[in-house]
Amino acid sequence: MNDGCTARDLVWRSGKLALYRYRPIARPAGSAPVLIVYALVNRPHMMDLQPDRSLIRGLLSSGLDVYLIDWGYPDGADRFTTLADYIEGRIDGCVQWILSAHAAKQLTLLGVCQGGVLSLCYSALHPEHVRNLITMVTPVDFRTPADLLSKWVDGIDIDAFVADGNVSGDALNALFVSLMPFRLAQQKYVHLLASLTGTATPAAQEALRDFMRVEEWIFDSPDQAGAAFGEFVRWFYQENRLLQNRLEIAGRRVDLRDLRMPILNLIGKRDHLVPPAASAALKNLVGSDDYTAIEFDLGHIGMYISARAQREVPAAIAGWLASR
Amino acid sequence: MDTNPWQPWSAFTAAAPSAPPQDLIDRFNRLARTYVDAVTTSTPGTPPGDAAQVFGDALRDLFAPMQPPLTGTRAMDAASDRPDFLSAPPAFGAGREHQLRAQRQAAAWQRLEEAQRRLQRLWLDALRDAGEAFVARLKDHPPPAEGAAAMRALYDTWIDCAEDAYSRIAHGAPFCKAFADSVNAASHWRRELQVIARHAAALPDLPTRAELNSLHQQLRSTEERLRLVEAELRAAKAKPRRRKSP
Repeated sequence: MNDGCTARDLVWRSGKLALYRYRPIARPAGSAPVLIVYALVNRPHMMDLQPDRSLIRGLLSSGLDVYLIDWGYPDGADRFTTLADYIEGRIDGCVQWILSAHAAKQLTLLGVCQGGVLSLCYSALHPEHVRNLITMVTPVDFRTPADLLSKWVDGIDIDAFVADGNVSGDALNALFVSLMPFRLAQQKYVHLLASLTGTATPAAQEALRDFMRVEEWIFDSPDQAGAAFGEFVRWFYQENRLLQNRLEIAGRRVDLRDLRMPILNLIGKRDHLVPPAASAALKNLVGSDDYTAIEFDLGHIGMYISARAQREVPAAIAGWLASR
Repeated sequence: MDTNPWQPWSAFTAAAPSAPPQDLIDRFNRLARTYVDAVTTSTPGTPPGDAAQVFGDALRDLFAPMQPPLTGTRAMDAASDRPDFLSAPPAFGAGREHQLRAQRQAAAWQRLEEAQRRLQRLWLDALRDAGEAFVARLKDHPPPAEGAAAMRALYDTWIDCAEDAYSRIAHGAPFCKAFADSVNAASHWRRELQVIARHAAALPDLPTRAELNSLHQQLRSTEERLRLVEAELRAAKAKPRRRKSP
């Protein structure tokens, strides 16, 4: 099992959650510590897949102090875990631990995909703890025309679907493959075979290992805590509450206008899971005067692991943080 | 130049016999080879339209069974082997509740099958559109006739056409409704299955999901109360104590 490639220490554990701190590899930049909040639907080691494809390594190279939340694999005992548990319990627990360890009042949150949504909620509820907010391939408007997922889930009876149980990671994988079945279930394997023609060269073998690392990550999908999954689908996809300023977490309104800290929004122009317009909608909802959006000509996964992403994304984050 | 232009393409597909699309690639190879042979042996100046049409139609048939992964699971396939309770006589007496449960499950299965069939029809519509787009592209731009690169280009052209056609259908209201109906029908069927499993578990006095859920909820409630009490204690400790007045 790949858990990432960069040296790190487990610094805090709460239930299945593990908080990791990465060991520095460059002179400290002096910025606030960075907490990466990854999505619940996939494993977070995509942020540190291999030495030449690691967002985390890129951030460390810029002297940032990086933490990562690993949510673990929910099981039947987690079926009633809610979004409030994740946001007010687990993310807040990590934030408090880091702030205490650094004797600091604020940190930088870097939310990725669904983790970006959780980070937006947390930052709106606890702006006093968040010095800078970075969102990466993060949906905010869940009803944009290109969003196939939202169209598909619109008519689903989510209570019946969850039915007091967890949601299988296999089912989610099937759903994601169904978004582009010819490319994702056929063409990519054919291209892999084509690339292996006559091959025993080290480069071809390395390419195959690269492919298999991504393949392993894609299909290593944790089951989803049923209650949180149901809330996420209903509140965000079906009711678009975040956009409409109608979202409440643990009885408190999540008002994006409370986001007055500097915000960096990283968008994939070819993202088929989170269409660019779904992310770009953040601009007009936040209360911050310091909002920056950067679009990369990349797809959803390309934003983490493509060669171009390695060159551009960590540098963009570090450069943006350096001036704040 | 390769003496056999198909050899490199076939060679790499043969190199990985366990790869998921192996059989499909082999069949694609045969169809493509027939098409390109027809193009290369046709009279100069004659449009290769018929060959393209035959190729496009064959690809539609080839991909028809693929269907999106969500439409059908092994568990459901296995469940379809059970007896037909829907046509059973009316339920009476001591077995009445058992029969009704089985009938409800059978009805849920029937609903699921119907929803899956609607999805399947839309999938075939996407393949029809893909086939038409593919044939049009071949007529406009017949591929170079030789080499593995030409085969790959043909394959990629087909995938582009198929994905475009599928995307148009998948974004449409009929597909979205059929998809939701299918998921809802599957949820309904699973619920009926759970009811039967619960009754079966009661006989040997096995714990049921409902009992476990109840315990989970009680535990959560207890933890929540504990957190509140701890928070109150912390707040009380943090408050400065009033000195007793002399």
